[in-house]
Amino acid sequence: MQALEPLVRWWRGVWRPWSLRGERWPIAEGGAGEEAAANAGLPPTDWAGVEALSRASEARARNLLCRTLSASQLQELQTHGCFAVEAPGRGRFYILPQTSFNVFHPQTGNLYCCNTEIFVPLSDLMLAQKLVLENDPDRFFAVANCRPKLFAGPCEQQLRRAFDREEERLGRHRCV
Amino acid sequence: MKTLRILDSSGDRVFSFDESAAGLRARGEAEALFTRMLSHGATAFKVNRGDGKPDEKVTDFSALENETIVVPRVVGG
Repeated sequence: MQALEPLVRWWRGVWRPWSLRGERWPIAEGGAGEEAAANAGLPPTDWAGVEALSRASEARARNLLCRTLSASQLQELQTHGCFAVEAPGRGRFYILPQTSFNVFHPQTGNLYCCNTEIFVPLSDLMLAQKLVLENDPDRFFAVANCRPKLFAGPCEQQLRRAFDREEERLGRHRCV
Repeated sequence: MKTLRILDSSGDRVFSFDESAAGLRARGEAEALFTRMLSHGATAFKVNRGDGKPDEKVTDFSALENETIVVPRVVGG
């Protein structure tokens, strides 16, 4: 246990937003006084503050996204929560409000996953995907992972059913 | 005044600069950052260009317009 003490001290000094306030680590040899001194170095975890920051980031990102979308994309976003983009030479894709496998190609039913290397709020991710798909699609498809229709989850299946219904409805109208 | 927006966890970081002599330092800092980001795989796009012009990818700092968004390197998720 003595040998592990430096490691435990280092761990105590690391900023861990998921750690609980007043978290205590048992060190038999250190004694209560030493343990309290070591715990005093822990940054307080303010969950409300973290959440407020997160909300502020998302609001800022949402504002930028709304300013950058075209009028039709903005309307789609406000109505459906997702929007369509045209990738030159690749067709139309829908960017859905989720962080993984959120780029949907309705023609093939494939879902693509392409994130930024660093964490960004969801709206920033959607904006990044829009910009890259519309202006640099080769880069997008060079790195994106593709999940074919066969492995779709319940949300995507629901979305596909909605698309199928819409296509069917349009098809009927065309026949009439 | 030109604006460079770099997407990050806080939403975005904004760097504003102009071509005037007073803004020379800010311009230099923005250019260094722009070059460094692009060399690390980021991509920059000119957005909100006005007159119905579409967004456009940009690689040259001197070609920046009013507003530019720098997207960090994209990776497969």
